[in-house]
Amino acid sequence: MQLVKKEFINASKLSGREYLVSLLREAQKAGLIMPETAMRIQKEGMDIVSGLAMDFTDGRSSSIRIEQAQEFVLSVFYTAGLTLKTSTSPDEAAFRLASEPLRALYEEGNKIIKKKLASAHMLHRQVSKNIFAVKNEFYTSTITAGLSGFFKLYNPKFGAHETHITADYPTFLPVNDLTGIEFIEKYLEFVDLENRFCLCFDVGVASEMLHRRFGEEYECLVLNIFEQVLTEALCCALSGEPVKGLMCDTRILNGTLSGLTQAELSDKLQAALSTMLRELQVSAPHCRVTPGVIEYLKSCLPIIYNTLCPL
Amino acid sequence: MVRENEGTNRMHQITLTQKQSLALRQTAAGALKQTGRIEFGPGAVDPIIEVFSDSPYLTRENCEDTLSQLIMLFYTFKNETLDRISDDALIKYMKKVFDEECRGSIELLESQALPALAKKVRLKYATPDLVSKEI
Repeated sequence: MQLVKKEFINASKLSGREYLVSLLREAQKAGLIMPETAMRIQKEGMDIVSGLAMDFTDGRSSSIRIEQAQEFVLSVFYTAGLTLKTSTSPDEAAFRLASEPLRALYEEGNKIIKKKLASAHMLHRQVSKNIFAVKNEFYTSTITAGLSGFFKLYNPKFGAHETHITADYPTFLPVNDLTGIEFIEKYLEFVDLENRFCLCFDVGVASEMLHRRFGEEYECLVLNIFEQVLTEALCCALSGEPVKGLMCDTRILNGTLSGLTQAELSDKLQAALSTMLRELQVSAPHCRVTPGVIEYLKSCLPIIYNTLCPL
Repeated sequence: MVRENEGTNRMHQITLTQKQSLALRQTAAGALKQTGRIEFGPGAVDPIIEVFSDSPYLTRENCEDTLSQLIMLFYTFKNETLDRISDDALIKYMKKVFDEECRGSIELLESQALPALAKKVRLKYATPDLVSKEI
């Protein structure tokens, strides 16, 4: 008989945005954290906030607006929450929260933010340099100016939880339940993976495909370029046309897909993905379809499947 | 800090009793609540009492009431001046205009001198650059 360790806290009940607060709530419900410990954590949090308020006003103001203090509280708990997120399980995170001083968790969180910020900054520079040059207002403005704005505005000391930008350009897989540097890190990761894939295609060919689908307006529409390129490339693979051409004959495609059961369509899509990747590696050896990109493409397939289903 | 002597805060020629000191602290707590602010550290009540202690317009009869109103105005105009003015600077400004232009009139301080200061600060700082902090 295999022994399975019982987890007291259900991970699905924890918030990615306000991890520490949700962990504290669930840990109290599960009896892992006692009310007096919760009080101690809140008091330690207020001590850190008090220090932040002094720094914020350079010691020249003895009071701040409550809204500002609330932002500091969110920032402190967000930062300490990043440390707790590195735990192997919510139960372990709750144990750390109960047993370690909040200031220690907070200071470790500050180091995590520093690292995340440096790597996100580097990734942003790389993506900006190699951006897939299709003309689309939201794509370029978000990835270059928008994200640069984040790096200018982000102040982890007083607002670690703030994202500052709206990231108008949507990634194909949405970035949910994250905020602050965690959101930017994940968003950039997705943008980078999507960009790497798109770079396997010719910009002119992709622009023509977008023009065929949306007309001139594609330049100012909020659309995900990766989704359009991937869907068209898969359709090409499904209908036996060259994927790099991004010009699928819908009659052939409809003929290929008509009468398929859901399971058969799913299998066809998997096969089309393999075909597409093989073709790209042969015809575009410079393109960097890394294991990360392949994993991302696989995660996208169920959504593409739903798009193709009505066909 | 205001020195407490034999249970009293001595001001100019006026003596603030412990009861009055406590009442002023309660006023400050209410003012903080009313203005949506939270205080850290020693607070602004003692500096207000100390700076205004030599005002010729404070008398034994009106000191508690006047100081209460000054405390309320202080927190209100911390907000109105967008937290751009330090405690010391705001208290000194209030004292100067209270003694000079306003000649001891809380009404004039509240309706003219402080709104004029707030307007000046807002014009200077109400820019899209919300990140800058010069308090």
